[in-house]
Amino acid sequence: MAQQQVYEKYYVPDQSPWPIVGAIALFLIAFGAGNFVVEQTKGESGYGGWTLLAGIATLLVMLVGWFRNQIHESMAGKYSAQLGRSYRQGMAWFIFSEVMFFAAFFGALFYARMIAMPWLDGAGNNAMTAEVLWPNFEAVWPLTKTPGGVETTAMGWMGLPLYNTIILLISSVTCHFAHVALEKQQRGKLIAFLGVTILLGCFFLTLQVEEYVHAYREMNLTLQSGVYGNTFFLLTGFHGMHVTLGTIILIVLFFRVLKGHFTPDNHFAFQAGSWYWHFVDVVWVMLFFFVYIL
Amino acid sequence: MLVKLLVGGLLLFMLYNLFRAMIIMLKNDPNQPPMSKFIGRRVMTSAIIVILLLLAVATGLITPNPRPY
Repeated sequence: MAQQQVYEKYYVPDQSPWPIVGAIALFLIAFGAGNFVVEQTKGESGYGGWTLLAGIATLLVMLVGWFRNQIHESMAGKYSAQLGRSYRQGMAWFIFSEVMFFAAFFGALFYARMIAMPWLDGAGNNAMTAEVLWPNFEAVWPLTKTPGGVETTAMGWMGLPLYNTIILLISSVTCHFAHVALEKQQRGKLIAFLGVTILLGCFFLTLQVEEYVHAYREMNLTLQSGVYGNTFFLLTGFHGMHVTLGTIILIVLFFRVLKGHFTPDNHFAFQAGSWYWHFVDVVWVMLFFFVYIL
Repeated sequence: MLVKLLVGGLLLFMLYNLFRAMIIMLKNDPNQPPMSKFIGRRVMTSAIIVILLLLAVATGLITPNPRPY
């Protein structure tokens, strides 16, 4: 007698409006941001800023709606092990893209500092290059005076950057404690440590804004300050955007924890969110070393 | 130079533990140790790196923002 094979159920959700809402939001953001930059550059008034804000608001509506649907489906027990694997695959690709993203910017810093600048100063067989292009160029990092004559000030490692390093480091400790508390089913500790992690993340972002204001207003360190200003703001700015995203993810997890979601055996969303926070912290430790100190 | 190599080695160890935790998270194998074990190691390594950097700068072993090479 042929044995009947048992198949696992696979939940197929209803048609969802959120992908098209997300596409509209991204279009409004791109269109609004483009116009906003042009308007600001020309000193004109226009609709760019409002379109950008409308795009961001639409994106937030999409995120809340999509997250809510997805969480309700998950809590209703509609998901299978196979869907869990697909989530993990999605997270793997997301991590891969993030690693490549930061590798590109760290690579740009390495190339500018260790290869391009010494060449411009005549290193290797580039003596004639230095002589023809900028004979007075001196390869010093941070490059506080460009060959074009733009002068700036280097951001020191003490003060706000050091405070932010300590804050983010403590936040990764509290995030880890929250994770361990979840594995041990200690909900009180989990809520407390996760809440502290979110507060520290917000504190980090506040201090980074203060650092940028200080850089722009008092140090003449801007995006127009040559290769040093470019690499400084690209690396620290994109990291700040990732801290913002990480904080939003932790806030979502926090409210889910308050509602009693996650068990010691089933908490992939928490694992992924917490891992992302640790990734952001690791990137900052590398930034602190390669951008601020070395 | 030695201290920079040490920091570089610790950075690699930190990355190794972070990505070891990631593999455990993605494989979801109950027979493997929990990912928090490796996350704990990576947090500890980060703290050691920052303390080492502070000590190295304070004692003059590392000069902040030197020449590019």
